[in-house]
Order: sequence, then C-alpha cells, then structure tokens
Amino acid sequence: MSDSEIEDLIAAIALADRQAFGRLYDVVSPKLFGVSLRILKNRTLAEDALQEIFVKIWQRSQSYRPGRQAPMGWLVTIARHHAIDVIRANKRKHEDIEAHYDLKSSDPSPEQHAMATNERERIANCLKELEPNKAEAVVAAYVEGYSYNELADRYAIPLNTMRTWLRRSLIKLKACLENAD
Amino acid sequence: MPIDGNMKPEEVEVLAGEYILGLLDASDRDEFERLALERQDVAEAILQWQERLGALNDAFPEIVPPAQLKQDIAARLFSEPASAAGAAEGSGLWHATGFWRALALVSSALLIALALYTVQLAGTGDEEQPVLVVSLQSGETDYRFLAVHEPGTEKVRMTLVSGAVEAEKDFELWLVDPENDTVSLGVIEEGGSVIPLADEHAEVLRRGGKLAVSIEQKGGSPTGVAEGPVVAVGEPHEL
Repeated sequence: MSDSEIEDLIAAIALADRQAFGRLYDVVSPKLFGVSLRILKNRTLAEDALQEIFVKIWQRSQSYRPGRQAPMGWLVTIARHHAIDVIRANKRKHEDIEAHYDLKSSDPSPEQHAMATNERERIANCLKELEPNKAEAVVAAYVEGYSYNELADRYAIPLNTMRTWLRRSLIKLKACLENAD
Repeated sequence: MPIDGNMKPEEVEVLAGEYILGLLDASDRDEFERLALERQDVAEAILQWQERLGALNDAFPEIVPPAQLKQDIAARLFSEPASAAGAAEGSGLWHATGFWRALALVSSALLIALALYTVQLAGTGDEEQPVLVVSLQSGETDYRFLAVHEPGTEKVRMTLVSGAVEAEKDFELWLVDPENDTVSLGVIEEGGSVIPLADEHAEVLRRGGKLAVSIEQKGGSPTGVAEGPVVAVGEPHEL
C-alpha cells in the first residue's frame, strides 16, 4: 500500500471511520508489531503494547498532518515511543528474540525499495562520518529504545558524557543530512 | 536543557532529535509535545527528525500479530465484538456520538474545521454558497452543540457535543433574528438530529442571526417562545 493510501486511511480514522481503522490495522500491524517486539523482546509485552499503540493511533489520528510527514514515520514514532515507555516501566529482558521469531521483512515494492535504498544510503553515509561507537549509540537509541542510562552503561562512560556525545552526534548528523539534500 | 519557551533554535533541534530517538523521559516528552502544539518551530523540528531518521525503520521486521489482537482492540475501542464491527452505519461520522463527545474539549475552531471536512467528504455541499457552521455554547454550562447548514438542503444538522439531556426534557433550537421575533426551529434529539431550516431562516442566519438552544419540557415549548433556560448560543461562520 502506498503512503498516500495510508494517509487517506488515517484521515478517515480521524473522522471515526472504523472500517478504515480495520484496514489500517491489516496493513501496518506487522510493521508495528515488529517495532514492539524488537524493543520489548517479549511476546506478551509486545502484544499488550500493540493494543495500546492502536488505541493511541485511533485517539491521535487528528494530530497527523497529511502531506507534511510520512505516514509510516508517524505510526512508527507512536509505536516506538509506547514500546519505550513499556520497557522503561519494566525491567528490560535480554531474551534472544531471533531464536523465537522469524524476523524476515516482507519484500517492499520496487519503488519503495528504490526510495528506501536512497534514504538508507544517505543516513548510512552520514552515520559513517561519526565515530563508530557514536553512530552505533544513535542507532541503538532508535532501534532498541535504549535510554541515556543504558547507553552510558553500555559504553562505560558517565551519563553526562553520554548526553554530550549524543547531542553532538545529532548536530553533526543533521548538518550532514542537510548537505546531502 | 530546560524545555520551556526560552529554548534557543539549536536547543529545539537537539531536543527534537532526542524526542524522536526516544531519549527524553516521559514528562519531558509530554512537555515537548505540548510545546509542539504551540510553537511551529518545535513541530517542524520534530517532523524533520522523524523524516531524517525514517530510513532506520527498515531495521524493524514485519511480524504478523496473533489474529485475536485485532478483535481485542476493536472491543476496547468500540465496546463491541470485532465480528460485529465493520457493518455500515449510515453516514458514519454524524451518527458517531462518541466521536463528537470526545471532541467536547477541543476548540470551536477545530470543531468547525472538522465539520467542514465531513461536509466535503459527504460531497453534498453546493459550491455556490458557503456552508454555515455554528458552534453553540455558553460560559455557564457544559452544553455544546455544533450546527451545520449546507446550502440548498433546507435543513440544519445538529450534534450535541457535550452535556446530556435531562430526563423528561428536550433541547429546543431557536433562531434569534436581530430584526424580528425569535422563532423555534424544532426539538433536537440527543446525539444528532436533522432539523428543517426554511430558506428564509437560512437567510436570517446569513444576515447576522444566531442560533440558541434552550431546555424545554418533552416535545418542546408549548407556547412558541423559550420557557426554559437558554444553555448555548452561537453565531454562524461561513465556510
């Protein structure tokens, strides 16, 4: 399904269209469940989180800005933020998720693939301009939902140093991505 | 880095990056989201970071959740088994009382924008004349109504946005004509109702008339003038 079709579904959901909500669920729930599992690494927590995520999507659909933001980006942000809240409320469990689930992604369409490749290359190139462990920290925060505390532990540096590291990395990353435009 | 109205542009940028990465704690995140509603630069910075880091979403796999979850979510949101959901329900939105009730706290401007959107979706509006939308309320009661008149329809659609009708009472809609006597337009059913609106009455609204709602005995005021308290008033906006 294209971005504009997903946008149309979100716009319909903002008007309390339940059928559109059901269709959106069918289309995006695998990705959002993937987000939830990746961060929570626990199937029960991830299933509960997915429910909450879709309740939030229903409730917040009016705040989506059509044409101004990628719909999947908006949806994944809701999912990530919720999963991060859950992980911070629970003790993080370090199960080996790949032992339990088949993590293969579904194949993107050729256009999606081309676009994703282009964007992926840009961010990959800009991440390469950072020191390797700093780039890794940015990605770990985004993909694993690590907090500043967890990152500081992981790199064995003081919390404030970790903050400074990461904030500087963000500024560099922004400059690099803007130059690539 | 305090999250407040004094943030410098570079602080906004970094905070927006941290917000998208998920590094703000819950209270800072809520505060930042609240600021994004007020400040365009904050909202814009969030959107940009969401966009910049969006390619990292490829790292998340797609895994089909258990089938039961969809039904559980529908049951939670709509208080009905999912198997019963999906049935056509008239023109959805206007009958979705819960939806309008949920909007009770939002601004009149947003209500009006949403009303316009539903009118456009319905596609029944006459292009020639503007749609009239009235948000009715008063500072003293919780009652809020939304009225929409589409040109050429000779009717006004009323929705009770907040407040509930008392037992053995009805809401009655009135047209307040600045040059003539106030006329009753009819009784409003709870949840939503279509009330006939003669062209001459629509014309009064366009000339500066207002709509008002009073609480009357069941079936409406028997005298043709409002007997009970007027609980909400509003003037039309042309869209």
